[in-house]
Amino acid sequence: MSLSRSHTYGPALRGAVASLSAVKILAFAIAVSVATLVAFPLASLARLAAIGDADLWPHLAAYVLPVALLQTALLLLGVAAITAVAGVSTAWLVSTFQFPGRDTLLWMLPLPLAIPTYIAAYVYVDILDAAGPLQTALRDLFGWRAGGDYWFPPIRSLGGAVFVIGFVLYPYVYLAARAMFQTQCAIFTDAARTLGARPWRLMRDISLPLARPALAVGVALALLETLNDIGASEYLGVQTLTLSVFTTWLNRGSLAGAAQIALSMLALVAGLIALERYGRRRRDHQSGAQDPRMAERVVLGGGWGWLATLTCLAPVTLGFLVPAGFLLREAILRGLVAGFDHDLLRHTATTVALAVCATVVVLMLGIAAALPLRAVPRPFVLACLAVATMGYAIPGTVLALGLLSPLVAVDEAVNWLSMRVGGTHVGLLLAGSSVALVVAYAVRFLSISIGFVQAGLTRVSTEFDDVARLLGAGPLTLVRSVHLPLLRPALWGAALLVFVDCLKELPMTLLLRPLNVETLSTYIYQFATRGSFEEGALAALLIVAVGILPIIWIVRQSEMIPTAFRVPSICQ
Amino acid sequence: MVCHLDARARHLPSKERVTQSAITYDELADPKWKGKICIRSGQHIYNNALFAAYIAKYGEAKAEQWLRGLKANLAQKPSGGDRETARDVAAGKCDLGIGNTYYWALMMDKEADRKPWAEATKVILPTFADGGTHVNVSGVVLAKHAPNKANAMKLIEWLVGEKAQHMHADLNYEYPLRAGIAINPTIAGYGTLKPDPLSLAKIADSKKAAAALVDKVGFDN
Repeated sequence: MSLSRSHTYGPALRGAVASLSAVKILAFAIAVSVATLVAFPLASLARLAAIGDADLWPHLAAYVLPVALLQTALLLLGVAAITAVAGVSTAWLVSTFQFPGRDTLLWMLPLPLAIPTYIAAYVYVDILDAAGPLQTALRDLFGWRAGGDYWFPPIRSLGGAVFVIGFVLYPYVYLAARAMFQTQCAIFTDAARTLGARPWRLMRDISLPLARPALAVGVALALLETLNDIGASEYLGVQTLTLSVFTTWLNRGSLAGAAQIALSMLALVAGLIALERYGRRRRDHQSGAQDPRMAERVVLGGGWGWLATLTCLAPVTLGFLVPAGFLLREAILRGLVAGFDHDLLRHTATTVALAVCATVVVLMLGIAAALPLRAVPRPFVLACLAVATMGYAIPGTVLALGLLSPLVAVDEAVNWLSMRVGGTHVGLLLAGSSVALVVAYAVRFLSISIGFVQAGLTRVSTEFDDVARLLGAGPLTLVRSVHLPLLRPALWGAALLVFVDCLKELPMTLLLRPLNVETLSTYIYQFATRGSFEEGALAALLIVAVGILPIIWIVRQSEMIPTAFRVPSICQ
Repeated sequence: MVCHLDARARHLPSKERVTQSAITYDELADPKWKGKICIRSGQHIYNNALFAAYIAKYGEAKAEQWLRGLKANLAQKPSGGDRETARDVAAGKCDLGIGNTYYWALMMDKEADRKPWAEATKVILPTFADGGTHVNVSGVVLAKHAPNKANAMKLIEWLVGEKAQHMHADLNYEYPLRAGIAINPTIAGYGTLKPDPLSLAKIADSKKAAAALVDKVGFDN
């Protein structure tokens, strides 16, 4: 088993340890600077909360927070239930069985990731609301009248929000669970099978307990996304905490009150991150050796096979086919394809360029932030890492707000310097350009890359590090030749999620984009605010189309990872 | 400096089920409309401005009573946007919807598949007891220390000029600010708009109070 989990190096390693001290300093420096990047907007938020008065608190506590807390809790519970059930059941089915359409469903199941939640909300209201085609057809068929004659589940409601958000976000759980089932070696299931266990029992007693960590990670991510949502919940009439931050700032006229709510939301988020960490820790026990032998898939024939097909097709249909189909229909019916708005090409290029820049930055920072912990597992580095992942916790609107003053402060310093040196005024280099957006995306999505790198690292046995050092590899060689190749699946996974998240991002982009810069989501937003969201259908389709390509590609990559790159698993 | 570019009024009832052609804001709280009114979130800026205007005119106590009456008349929890409100009226979920006029005009003239919804509804310009209608406005602001004031003034002059005001009237279906610019025929059909003379500054002063009142009566819950 493991040679040196306790990091007490043998005599042969002493030389390498000497060169480690420089690495330690570097590791500390990197950890501190990445944490600082995220700490600035947080500190600026705390300052806003502190310098403002607390006059509004009694009002918020009496009338706003009780409702917001309850609605947020119910929304999170509902979304957790849908994403867990849809994500784990589909991942288990495609990993355990061969059934009609399974190979196609394998790459279709993650596709809802490409649909922004607010777009799904608009689409479902169009289809399911009182004036939508479904209810109209029912009324025509049975001669009912709206508003009393019949009951139809209201889409603009808490339940509607759970439905819409749940079926768009389940891929977070699916991807985590699929990766887990995929690397579960056959030894347990084979043993159970020879003892006569049926597939259902295998799922209950073997697969599900082993998938619990993945479930925790996936659900935590889905819930963090839910907390960030503002468009869908506002439109569907759900008074979430995030929406309260927004209305407290803009309507109740209290930026301090908004910052105070946002800061208290961090507690909720800390809970979710703890859940995610708990998931990781369980998985940690399971790493340690090689030769994962994949379980053979059982062929499901007849009715059971088709039932499996339907079970997997349902979430894909609700989370992807219906919204994408609706957008396509609207784009064609409204002549948006025929009368193509050429500005859209420019907006698409802007969106993709921003997303690519942000993804590269986020990956590099993620690697830089997570690797030091492996070299220097000290509480201080751990604390820095915890701060660095807090960005995901802050609703985009608030984060943008918190970023403004640090960005402007840097700009002012640069201007002061350039006036001193060259006598020129360079203007708002960061706050006034797309750099502000890349910084905002980086701060917000850093935790995704850190999470993936950490999860990947816990599954790379320290044996590899020890062997590499014994063979004389320096720290940089170790990272370049051992860690990065072994982390490849994790890095691709992180890149996919960050890229697609950047494509869809709306609130921060709306607030921080430079003048005359539109992304696809801000372009759709201007139609949505005028009440003609369908006019933005083609732009929404473009987000989906650009998002689908990396999703399909990443699925192909992860389905074809060579054995050498498979994460060492639990056999032996 | 702030200047207004255009305005729009709020109110849309069902053509079939509502026969009256005039209504006051106070009447919206009349129990005869119980379960018959649809509206978007009370915290949305459009409604916030309307409620703030009510507070500025009649004081908070009367506004609270009115808002509670209006809340009691709602057919459903506030959600969606003005267009969803119009659609709910057309579908028969409610008889009165409170929304901005241009959404209705857009459905009538620009969206062939939405036209039946516009045709099932009509527009009434509601009034305060003294006869004025609350309007939302678009404006333009020039910062005191703006470095290019001359250029900004040119832009503002263009915005209030004939061409831009025609665009506001005919592309956005809003009431143009400039005298002498023809109102678009579709919205001219709603009747003559008599904007409430209450100053915008007074309405703005009551914004926070309106937001607090919406919380207090649980308007959005």
